[in-house]
Amino acid sequence: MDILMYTPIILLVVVVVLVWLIGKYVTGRKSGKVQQVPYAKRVKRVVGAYVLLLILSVGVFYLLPDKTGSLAEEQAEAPDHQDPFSLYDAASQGDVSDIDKDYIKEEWEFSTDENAIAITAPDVNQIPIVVEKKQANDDKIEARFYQTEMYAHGASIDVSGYAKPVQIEQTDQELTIIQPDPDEHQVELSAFKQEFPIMQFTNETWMSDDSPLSGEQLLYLQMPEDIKVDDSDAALDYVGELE
Amino acid sequence: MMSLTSVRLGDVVRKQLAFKLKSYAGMFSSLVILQLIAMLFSFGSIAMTGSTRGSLSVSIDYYSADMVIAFTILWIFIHALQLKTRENKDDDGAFITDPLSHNLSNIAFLGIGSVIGGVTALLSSYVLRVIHYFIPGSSPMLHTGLTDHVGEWLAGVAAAICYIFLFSALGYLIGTLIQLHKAYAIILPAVFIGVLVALAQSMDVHVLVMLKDFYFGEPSLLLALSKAIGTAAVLLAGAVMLSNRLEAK
Repeated sequence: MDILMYTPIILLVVVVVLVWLIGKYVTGRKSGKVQQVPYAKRVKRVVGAYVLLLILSVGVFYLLPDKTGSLAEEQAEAPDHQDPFSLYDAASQGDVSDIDKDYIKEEWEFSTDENAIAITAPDVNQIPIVVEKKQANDDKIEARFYQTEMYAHGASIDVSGYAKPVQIEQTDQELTIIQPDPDEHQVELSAFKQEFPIMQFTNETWMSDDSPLSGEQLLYLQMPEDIKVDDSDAALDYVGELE
Repeated sequence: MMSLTSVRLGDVVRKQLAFKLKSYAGMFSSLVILQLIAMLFSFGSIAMTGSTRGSLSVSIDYYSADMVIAFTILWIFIHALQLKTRENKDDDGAFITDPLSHNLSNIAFLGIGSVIGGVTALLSSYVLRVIHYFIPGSSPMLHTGLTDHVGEWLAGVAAAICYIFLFSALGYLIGTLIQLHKAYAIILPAVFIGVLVALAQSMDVHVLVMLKDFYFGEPSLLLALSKAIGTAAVLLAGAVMLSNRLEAK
């Protein structure tokens, strides 16, 4: 596999050798001062071959199929929900009924007859956990994982399929929220930026303004009314307690 | 009425230029080699950005052909310098020559070099993209960094040519100074670095940043080209005048 690291070098060496061979083939050898003109001709042909290669690469580039298309089943379309729609805003106000049902990616229901429960979320980051106290004591903890469409690089590539919901494990007096390992769900992309003499006159910035990743995930927990929640090991937001 | 002298000057310059294009042809093969080396260096990403939401992480590696342009600028600067410092009067010996026609043919030669260098440098971006595409295991490439209109690309090419020409003019002037007296080869870089450091330390004036903003930060194409060509004209006029003085010695 290490040979892959050297592929650019190998490809460039091939290009150099090709340009050199073309030059040599079409002009023959140079020897002595008398043949200065043939030498100039040889250079002319080498440069000509190089320019031809550059021009051909423009055509080849525009004919290449788009590899980013293989990331998603279909290329992303503009999101249905106009910004600034926010899962978090809706959930923190308890308006989960306003959230599109399609955004529910997983649901859980746990029974509990305890008076207190500790919620731990040791490795969960960037996923808000919103807790709602129910109006009744039904001894049931309901959990829902919401996820909007996830886009890489602005709204150009739909990577929703790569995002996985959290996992929830229940023991007697503890609910543990586990986040899958991000390294296993990594999307790698490459991008070219405009050359500085072009960028100077276009509106493009040095690095794209588009967010590398956009979209929202959220875990919504509904707790029995009288259960006491120990949130010392998790960052929880409570419905109605937020600005 | 066109005078007989100006016709002759034009003819002499044209003949000298044709001769230089042949005798200094090696300069263009060095351009090809330098640009290929720059492309090799450009395969390393220049920046990375990434973001994580829960279990999903996206990373984008950025690439650029700016290094090819930088190498091209370096190439013309060195050759412009050599054009004067390694100058052999016999070069133009086959023609009736005077300092003016000699300088004009050199400037025309540098102009041609700048055009070839500028166009090839900007086209090299596509070679990088194509090679990147075919590298096994390479990450999918976003269609970024492309111009929306041919006009934008041509504006970039025009700017690149002018910047390359500007540096060739600078090299030509420095070369002329060195030809005037070898001591300038040491004095000029020492004074340049000294002034840079002194201004930065004592007055917090960063000359290179100011120059970069003045030329490369100009958003108007017309102004950017005017600045580059105007400065190049001043530098070249200085070189021609110094050259005349040298000739009079």
